[in-house]
Amino acid sequence: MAANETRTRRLHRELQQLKTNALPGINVNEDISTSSLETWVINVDGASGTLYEEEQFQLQFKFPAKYPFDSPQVMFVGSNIPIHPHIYSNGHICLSILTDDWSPALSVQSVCLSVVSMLSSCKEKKLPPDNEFYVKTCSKNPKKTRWWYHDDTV
Amino acid sequence: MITDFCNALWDTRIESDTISSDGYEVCNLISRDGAKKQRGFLAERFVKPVISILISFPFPIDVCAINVNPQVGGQKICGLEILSASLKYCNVQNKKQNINGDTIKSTLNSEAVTAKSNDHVFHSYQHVLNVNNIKQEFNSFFNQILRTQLAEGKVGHFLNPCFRDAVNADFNSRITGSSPSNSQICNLQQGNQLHNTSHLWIRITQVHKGSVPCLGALEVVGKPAKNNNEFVMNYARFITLRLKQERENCKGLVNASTETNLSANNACKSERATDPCHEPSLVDNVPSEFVDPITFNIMPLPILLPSGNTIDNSTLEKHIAMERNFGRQPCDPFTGIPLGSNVVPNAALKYRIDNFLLSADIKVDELGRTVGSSSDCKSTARLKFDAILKQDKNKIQPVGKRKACPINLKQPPLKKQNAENDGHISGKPNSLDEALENVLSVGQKPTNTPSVKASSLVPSSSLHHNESGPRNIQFTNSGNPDNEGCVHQEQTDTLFRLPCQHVICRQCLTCAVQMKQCLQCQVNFEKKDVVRVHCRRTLQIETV
Repeated sequence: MAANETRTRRLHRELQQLKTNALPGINVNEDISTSSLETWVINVDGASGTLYEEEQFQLQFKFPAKYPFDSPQVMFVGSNIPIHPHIYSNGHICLSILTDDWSPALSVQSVCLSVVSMLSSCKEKKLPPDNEFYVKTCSKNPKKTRWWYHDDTV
Repeated sequence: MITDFCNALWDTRIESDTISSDGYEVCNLISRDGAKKQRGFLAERFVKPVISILISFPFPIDVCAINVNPQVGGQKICGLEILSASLKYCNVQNKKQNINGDTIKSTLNSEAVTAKSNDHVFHSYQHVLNVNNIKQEFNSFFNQILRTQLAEGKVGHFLNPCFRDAVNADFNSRITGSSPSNSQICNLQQGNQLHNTSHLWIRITQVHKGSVPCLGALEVVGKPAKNNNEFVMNYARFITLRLKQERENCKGLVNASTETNLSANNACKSERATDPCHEPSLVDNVPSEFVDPITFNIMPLPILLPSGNTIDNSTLEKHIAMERNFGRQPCDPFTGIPLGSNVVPNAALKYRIDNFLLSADIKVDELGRTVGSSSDCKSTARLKFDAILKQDKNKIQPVGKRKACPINLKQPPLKKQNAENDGHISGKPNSLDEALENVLSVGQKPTNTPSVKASSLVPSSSLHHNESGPRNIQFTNSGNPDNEGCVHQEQTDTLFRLPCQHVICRQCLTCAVQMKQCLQCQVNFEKKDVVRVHCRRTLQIETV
């Protein structure tokens, strides 16, 4: 319960900050996000001048009870999932800050920025090499996958 | 219609003849921003009395009372003089024939418009006074209404004895309302001069020893003078109503949050007792520097991190516990740099937070508190912290399925030497702790293994897992010239062990995976056999 209070207070603040200091291309889907604080959906636009220009994606955040000390569960949802070497076709993202390198100082906004920057640095639209196998076998929760981060250039 | 005229909404103007400290400008006294208003006015530190502050009202008012808080932080003033002037007001109706309620509303809608349009309407006195010309040519307009010595630690509450409805329960003073015992009440002289007041001239004549001239808060309570025209009266009614609404809104907010506070309290009282940091407090009114940037709660025990950020002790403890789950050493949540011992309780900030909590109207008993002097709290926090570090150093426990493996990275990496191992410990230790102790005792008895020095002992990271038996840990002498490993080990925490027992970093692993063989011994391996290991670079085996 105590942990939930911390989470609630923190999420309220983050939602406030997302609305007041909105970054271009990152918008909270308020219908879903405000109705339940545990799950947010954030609309992310592909940055201009990149391969994903003029595309719209939806990032889903699920916050565990221990948030912000535990990392949120982040994945792409909706019809348009970006084709990217580190994003599986079921929406799972291979990004170290989402599991191992998470820090409570990170926020929803900074995670969104990281994802956008990951998309922007992509040079070739292709699926991860083991996409088919992973999508068939993986758990629904991307945090249950033991990711093996290998690409430092992203 | 009695109200406080020290509010920018009235278009009251204020100026002083000195420079002020940054953030403590004289206009704070009439600011509509609560935080600024709370800060008050403080002159630059080299300024000496006497200093003058001139307040000019948009239209003549009848002064009922003047409330003064004579201190800002530790700075206190004691000598105060107030003079008033009643300049003749030029009738605005001649200039602006067609002013009606609509224009008032529209002018109120935006601040900028208010200032502009009011220029024509208000402040149209027979002379334009400023803080310099009142000292010479317009000096004669002013009459002294008060000259007083303020007692230390008391707020001044000066009443106009001639004011008809002087005691008006309607008005709640921000300054004196809270504690009447703490205020010094006296009457203003020449009360008849206080009708139709257009300007107030406040002179700070004396300060407490070593203090800087300041004014914590100022309220001029009154009502528009009777001979004001219809437009001014309408305007005044409108503004009074608005101020009242704002005050009620504020109250409503506070009430609402205390209500939620209470309901939440009942829901989880037991947790509260053990974990005081999770109080839903009225954080909205708290300066942001007192609030933990991670949990957004008031910090009962602020800790200064190497990155310059301050977070609460409980937050840091939780963060460290979480990091331990990942097998990492305590690190700064903002930078990820290992903390080491340079974590200091922020005693100065704690002092300010405590002061704030005492003075502000916040339910303190609900918040976690620490008692004792700042040095006490410093030492306890230190002790706690050292204990955490010690625990981390001594107790390396495999968490979950991960294997925590001690590696002294100060030493060059190693190669497994199964057969001819000098430092091999006979007997199978039951735990890592035991193994460490064994090694240390070996180091102390050089006669047993003359070629091994404890300082050069390196756990070979070859945690043998005999499925049935206890763990067998081997220590090798790292002085072997064949020892070549990955050179990046020193720079990273994330290491991988190949089936041939070589420990390499991620970068080298990527190369190795492509070649499908170990870069050191050229032994082929499968990707699935690579195991990630966690290390603690701070672990040092010390010789006695």
